[in-house]
Amino acid sequence: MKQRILVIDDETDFTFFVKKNLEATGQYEVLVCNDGAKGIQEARQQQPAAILLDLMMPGMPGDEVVNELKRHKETERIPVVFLTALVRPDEAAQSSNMIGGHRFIAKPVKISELTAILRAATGAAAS
Amino acid sequence: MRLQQQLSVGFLAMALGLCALGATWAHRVGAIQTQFNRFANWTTPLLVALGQLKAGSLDMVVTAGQPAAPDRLRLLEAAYQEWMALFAGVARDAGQHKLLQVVEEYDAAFRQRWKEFAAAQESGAAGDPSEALAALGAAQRRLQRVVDKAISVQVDRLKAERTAMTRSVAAARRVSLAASAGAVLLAVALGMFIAGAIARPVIRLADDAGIVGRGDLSHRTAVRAGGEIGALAESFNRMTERLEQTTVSKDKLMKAYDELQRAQQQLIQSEKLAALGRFSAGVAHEVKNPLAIILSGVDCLRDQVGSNADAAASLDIIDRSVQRADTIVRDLLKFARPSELQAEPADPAGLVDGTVELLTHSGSLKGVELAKDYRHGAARVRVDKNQLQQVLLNLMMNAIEAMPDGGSLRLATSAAEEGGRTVCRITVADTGTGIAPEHLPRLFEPFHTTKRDKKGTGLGLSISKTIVESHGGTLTIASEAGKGTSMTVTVPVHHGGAAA
Repeated sequence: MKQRILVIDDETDFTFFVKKNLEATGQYEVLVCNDGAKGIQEARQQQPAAILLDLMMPGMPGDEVVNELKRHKETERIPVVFLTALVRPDEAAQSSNMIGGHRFIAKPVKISELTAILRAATGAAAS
Repeated sequence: MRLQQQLSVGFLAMALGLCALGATWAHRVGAIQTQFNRFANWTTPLLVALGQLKAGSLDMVVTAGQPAAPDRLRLLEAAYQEWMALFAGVARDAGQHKLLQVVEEYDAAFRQRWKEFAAAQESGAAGDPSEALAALGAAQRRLQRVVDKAISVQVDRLKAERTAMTRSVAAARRVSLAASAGAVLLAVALGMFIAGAIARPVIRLADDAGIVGRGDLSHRTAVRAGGEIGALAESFNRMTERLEQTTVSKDKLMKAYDELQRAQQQLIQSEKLAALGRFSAGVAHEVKNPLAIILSGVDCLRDQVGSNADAAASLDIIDRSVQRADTIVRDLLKFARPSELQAEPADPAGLVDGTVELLTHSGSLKGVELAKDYRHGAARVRVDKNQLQQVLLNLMMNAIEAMPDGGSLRLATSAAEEGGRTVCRITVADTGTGIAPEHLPRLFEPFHTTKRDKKGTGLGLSISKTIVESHGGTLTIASEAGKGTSMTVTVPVHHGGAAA
């Protein structure tokens, strides 16, 4: 059974390729939102297995989206993986790839890295 | 005493001295002249009177021996008596009482004989006139001898007085000459003393002014005097003190100005770097997103090209280019937001050796001759090992790239005193191509690179400098085109704890 992944990122070209690449693996069903507020609604309605969330977005940035998700019971347990363009590899190593208790991955990201971190996130949530 | 008063007193003393000498001399000469005049005043008439007595008495005797009229004899007798009276008066005035007494005695005898002769001549028969004349002649000769003796004595006295006067005048002249010479000597000595008293402090003041003029503004004159010279010395010291204060203030001001300028430059540099950091972070964010899209697109296309080798090779090229661009952006981020220091004590040699090991493993040291020269002794540094090794790696990579045809890489450490603290220096020196002088001032500027093949991002040395400075150290470069480059990391020595 395919896992439902919600991608919230204002970069439409990026979300286009991420959706195609993840779905090409045959393991994921990918939903895309290019706006934080809409992403929260989508998460409530669709209950994805994990959310790929861009940190820096116009309107509602990633950290506010997470706070909002945590405030509602139906979304508080959904694992979130942050996508960021502003984290260096050594910073990621120092913080064990976690920001505020959430995993993160630095752009640009290969599909293999992306699937690995999603497996880790959904696996941890399941356990 | 004021200088004018000193001079006035000195010259007044000289004038008084000369006046005193002149008066003394004039008094002495006057005394001699008075003495001589007094003597001459009575000696001359005395001698004249004596001569007339002698001549008159002889005239009387001679005339008495010849037939003569009684009138003529009476005239001669009267003339004789007048001369005798004149002599008596002069002798009495001159105090020649003894001479007067002797002459009067023989005069009396002569006149007695004259009376007897006159009486005999008048009586005719009563006596023999020739006997009376003989007795008169004898009395005249006795009188003449006394007078001659008196004249001789007076002439001798006159000669003696003249000799004494001549001597006195000569003595007065000698005294005068000696006094003149003494006055001249006194005037010269007084002049020299006054001139010396004025000139000595002036010369010392001139010497002191010379010392101050040569730059020793702490020098003060030791001249202590009253009057104008003392006032001049005090003014000189006050002026020098103010000059010193002004110069010290100026030096302090200049130093403060230099420090202010340095601080301003540092502030401007910090502001520029901060602005560049914000700019770099923005650029990194804006670049990374399209890179992420391209890389995701490459991944997407890989599935679609399948076994098409050419298309796969093209995607590989795009992939590598994205990775390269990502490296540049990562360096930008490192520059924009340096990592927090994880400082710990470390042996400088261990840091250098650890970096050399990394290069050896990667095969970068091929064709390069290594020369280690560790002289830091027991000195340890407190640094973030990873970051400092990143700096050393950057410096060594630069050195190796400067020697494409091989060369010598010298790695040296030393401990030294610098700016009042102990520092450790780590030097990476190559025998490569060197850096052109026009590039040296811009080496630490972000994005400045001398690598023509675009291998570098132009951020390596900027990041290295930032890291070293965050350790309280400095990074310096010395280079000579064609001979090589020497890069030195200087960090403070750690005085506590053990090396890791």
